[in-house]
Amino acid sequence: MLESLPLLSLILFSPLIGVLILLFVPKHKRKPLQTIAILTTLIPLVLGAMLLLQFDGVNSSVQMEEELKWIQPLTYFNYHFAYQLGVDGISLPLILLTAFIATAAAFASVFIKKRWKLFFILLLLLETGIFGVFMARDLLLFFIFFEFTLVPMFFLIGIWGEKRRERAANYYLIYNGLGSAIMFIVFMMLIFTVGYDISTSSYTSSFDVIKSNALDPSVFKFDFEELKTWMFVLLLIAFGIKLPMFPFHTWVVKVHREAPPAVVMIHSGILLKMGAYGLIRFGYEIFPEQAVEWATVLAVIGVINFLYGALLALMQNELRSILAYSSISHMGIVLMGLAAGNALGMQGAVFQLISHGLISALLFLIVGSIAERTRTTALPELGGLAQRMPFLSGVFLFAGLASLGLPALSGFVAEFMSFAGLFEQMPVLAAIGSIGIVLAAVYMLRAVLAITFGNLHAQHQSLKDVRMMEAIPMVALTAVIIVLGVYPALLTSIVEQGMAFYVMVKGG
Amino acid sequence: MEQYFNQYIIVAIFIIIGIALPFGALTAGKLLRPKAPTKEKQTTYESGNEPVGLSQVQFNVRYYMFALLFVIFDVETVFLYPWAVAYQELGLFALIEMLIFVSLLVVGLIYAWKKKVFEWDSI
Amino acid sequence: MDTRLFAADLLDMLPELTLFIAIIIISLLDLFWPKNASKKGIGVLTLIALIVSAGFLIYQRIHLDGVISLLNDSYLVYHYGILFKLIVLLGVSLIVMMSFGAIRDKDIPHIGEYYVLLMPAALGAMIMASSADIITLFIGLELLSISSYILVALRKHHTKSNEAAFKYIVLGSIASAFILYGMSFLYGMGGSTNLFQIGATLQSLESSFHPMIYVSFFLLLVGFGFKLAAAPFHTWAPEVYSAAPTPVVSFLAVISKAAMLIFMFMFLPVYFVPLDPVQNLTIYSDVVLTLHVVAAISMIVGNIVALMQKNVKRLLAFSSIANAGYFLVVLSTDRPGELVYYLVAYLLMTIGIFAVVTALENSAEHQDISIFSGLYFTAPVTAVMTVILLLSLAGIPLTMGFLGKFFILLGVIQVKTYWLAAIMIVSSVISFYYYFRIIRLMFMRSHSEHTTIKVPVTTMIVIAICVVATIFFAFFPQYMLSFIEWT
Repeated sequence: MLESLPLLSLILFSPLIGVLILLFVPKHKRKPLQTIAILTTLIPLVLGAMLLLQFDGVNSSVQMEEELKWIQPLTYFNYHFAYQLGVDGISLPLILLTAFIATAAAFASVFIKKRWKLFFILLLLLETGIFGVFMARDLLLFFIFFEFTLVPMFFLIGIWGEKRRERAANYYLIYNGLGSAIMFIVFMMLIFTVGYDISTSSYTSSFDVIKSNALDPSVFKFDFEELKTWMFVLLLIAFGIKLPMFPFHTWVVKVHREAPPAVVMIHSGILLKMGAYGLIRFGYEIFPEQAVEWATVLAVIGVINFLYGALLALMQNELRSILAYSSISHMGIVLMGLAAGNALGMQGAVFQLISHGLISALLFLIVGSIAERTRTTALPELGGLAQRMPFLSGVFLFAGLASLGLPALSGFVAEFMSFAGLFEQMPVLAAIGSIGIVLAAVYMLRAVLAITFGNLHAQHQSLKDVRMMEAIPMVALTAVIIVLGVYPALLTSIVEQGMAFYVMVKGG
Repeated sequence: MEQYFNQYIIVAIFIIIGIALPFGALTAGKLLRPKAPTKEKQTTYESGNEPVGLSQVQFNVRYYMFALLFVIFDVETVFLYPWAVAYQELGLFALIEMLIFVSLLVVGLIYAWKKKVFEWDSI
Repeated sequence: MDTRLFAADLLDMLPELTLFIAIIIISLLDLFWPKNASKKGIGVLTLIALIVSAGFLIYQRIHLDGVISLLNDSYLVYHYGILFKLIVLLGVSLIVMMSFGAIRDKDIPHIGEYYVLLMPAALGAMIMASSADIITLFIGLELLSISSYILVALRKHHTKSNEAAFKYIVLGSIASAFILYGMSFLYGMGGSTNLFQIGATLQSLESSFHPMIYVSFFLLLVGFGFKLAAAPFHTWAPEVYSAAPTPVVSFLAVISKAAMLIFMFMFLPVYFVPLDPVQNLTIYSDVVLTLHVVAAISMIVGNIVALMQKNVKRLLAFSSIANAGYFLVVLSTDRPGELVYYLVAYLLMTIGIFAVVTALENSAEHQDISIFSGLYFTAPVTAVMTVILLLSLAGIPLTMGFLGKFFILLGVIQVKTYWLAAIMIVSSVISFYYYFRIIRLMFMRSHSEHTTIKVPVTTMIVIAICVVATIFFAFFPQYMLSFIEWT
């Protein structure tokens, strides 16, 4: 019976149940609002676990596919678009990560001090949007969800952020709007070049049709050959903005700095991953040849991202900014892994997506805890927090170590795999890139030590350690980071399945 | 194509003549007439009366109302006259058409009446 | 071709005749309306007349079989014509409903005339949608234009409004003159006032006539661009929009545009004149290029200048200029189905947002963009609905506005006009900024001026209809698309 359930749709729309309930709860009652929100985020988490159990790790095709006709061709209107979902080894971990971090963010919303009702509604809407992005097997559907996430994020940054929140919200909106605009043009070009579905004799945005048409040399492709390099480069830019890829990274720093911690957990933990996911899904799967051609460029950009982010992180005196640049730096690892193009590097890239999602969520949870108590995140104004908040400081140190890639933690596995992959293909670039690992250790430890050790400031004498609501997600995130670090095969076995397509294409 | 433009040449000739004629007539008159201006000759000609006040005065806006109403009936007559002349040939259909036309004008008349256009002090 | 009109043919004109008779009866009723009775009754009667006319149209649509041609093609009953007329009637009905709460005695002394005049304007648009003869088209256009001149001037004790109305009349007449002049060229070359015959004759003309064909198109384009408010013929729009009564503004933004689109839709096929049979070149491809250029200028100017506006109605004026650009794009791709879909989307979101503006400006007594401040705190339901309308205008997914733009873009990409697609999509990203500025005001600013906002029930109904339809047809576009193509 369980097999017949539309599990993906259930996960996708389960947050909306919470939205409906929340609409009828009085807006000044914080406790029930948050309880409902947390409980709602648990539903996709549980369903996600079921999904994981049902997932067939050996079979390399897309699984759990669901399809509903949406727009069908007419006489003159010869397109058809469908509501089409599915998971494979790349999207499954990201769906689980989304469910997990959304729950953590719901816990972390203890830091939110006003307008809870709207906050939770938007948070749950955002969760649905992100699920949709990772599940969609149709270009139009993907775009709809991708663009839809802009709206709740705009509100979340603009209402609950720091002083210059509205500016940050605008930056977010315009940069991502441009990114998705470019992506949209490419998608439409794909629809007309390789989206012709013979079975319905109409154009479609179905990913499977487009992919098989693009890869099948026997299919007549209208203008595809002339345009495909352009399309790949445009996709690279479009997803590069989201990723973020140097030089399109400025908005990310602003959002990290201004958005409330619970939102940054989602933003840095999941939303940035949408860029990398899109690049793999559409860039690599549809344009494998171009991906190989452009690998060097990608690798160079990755190395720049990695070093540039690390250097700038080193120069910041404010915790949020350090973490923002560290995010940029870590996304460089993803790019390097993708550029490597071999099984090891690609898996490392996806591993890094998950690992960085977990670690940055944990770090921003800690930022939230610190900011709530001390009302500052500037390094000079903080110090000696270990004396008053030993638990928090311990978790912070752990997160810092995970971030800089300490062995036996998830960050190490990801970095190791990506670098090992790149060394195989482009040893020089990899060698240059590895300087960044040292830099990462320096900036991360500098921040952690400056905050936890040293002299405790006079006004921070009466600080209390974390509450239960903050401790629960911290412990959970920590646990997962350790498990993935100790037993990476748990993740790599799934990712391997999703990567099979690419290695196959490259090999053949 | 050339034929098409040739037809415009006739129009162009008309325009040129139209512009040239007043110029020519006035110039000819100027050349022929004796010139002996007096003060009275230079005043504005108003049917022999002495001009009073400024020449640029505002007309009362009420006159425009009357002018508009006049146009309605004027146009009505313009249409009624040829219809009446050709009544024999046109027959019943034209009669009905004309009735519709007149009744539409009557609606306009009723409108004007109710809006007190016919009363001098309505504005 | 039969040029005679029989009584039975009148049945095919029933929707128009209904309105025509209603105009006479209601305007007479208005004269004998009791002095102290509310003039809303006139509005209700107008609404009933519009709905009855729409009912006849739907009946016509159901029983339509091919094309019915009367009076030597000067009056056609056909598929897209009926759709356009339905859109016009839907728009005018919504505007009438919005007016119940928005039009106030102190603003407009002649409320009865206001409602009555909406009908000839709608009738003009309907005549345009239904004729393939340049004279009938022009009569429809003038009926629409003259009615809208008066509608714009209705705030007669408002100096700014009078100034704007005067400019509108003068410029509008010039635009009409341009159109007429362009038509005269077509008549001169085609030897007929019938568009089909003109089209047929033009194809066989020798090439020395081609410059004249271009001249006729550019003359038409000037008038057309003016009435559509497409840049660079848009300068009247911000002023007239900010000075005219808001329901009238929504009329100009929606109905006038729709009418001009059907006007151009009828005219464009005339220009399928072969230039070079070897390279498959026609004058039409130059016409399309011109439309593209005007569209690009409109989208860029509209969306960029809108960024700097402080007056809501001016902002929406520039937004409608940008939308004129989108319409030109879809017009040039010759895809009537997509045109109708986006037209309905535009109608719903524009009328909805203007309905919100009427309620807010009436309670704040000014039109600064700050009327939106803190709306979420004072009227949360209205605020959320406004957000949906704005998202639709901005083209964010899950709204009709998004799908409409998507369909337009598909058409453009299919003919490989990538530069235009790029301009369209980037300029709509720019438009995010000003639409979201309103959202920011509603949700992120405190409510300084007005503590309570009363949205009249009828206005609320209009907003709700617009929002629900915007969402519904975004989730189920199939219903509308198959209705559009239903034969």
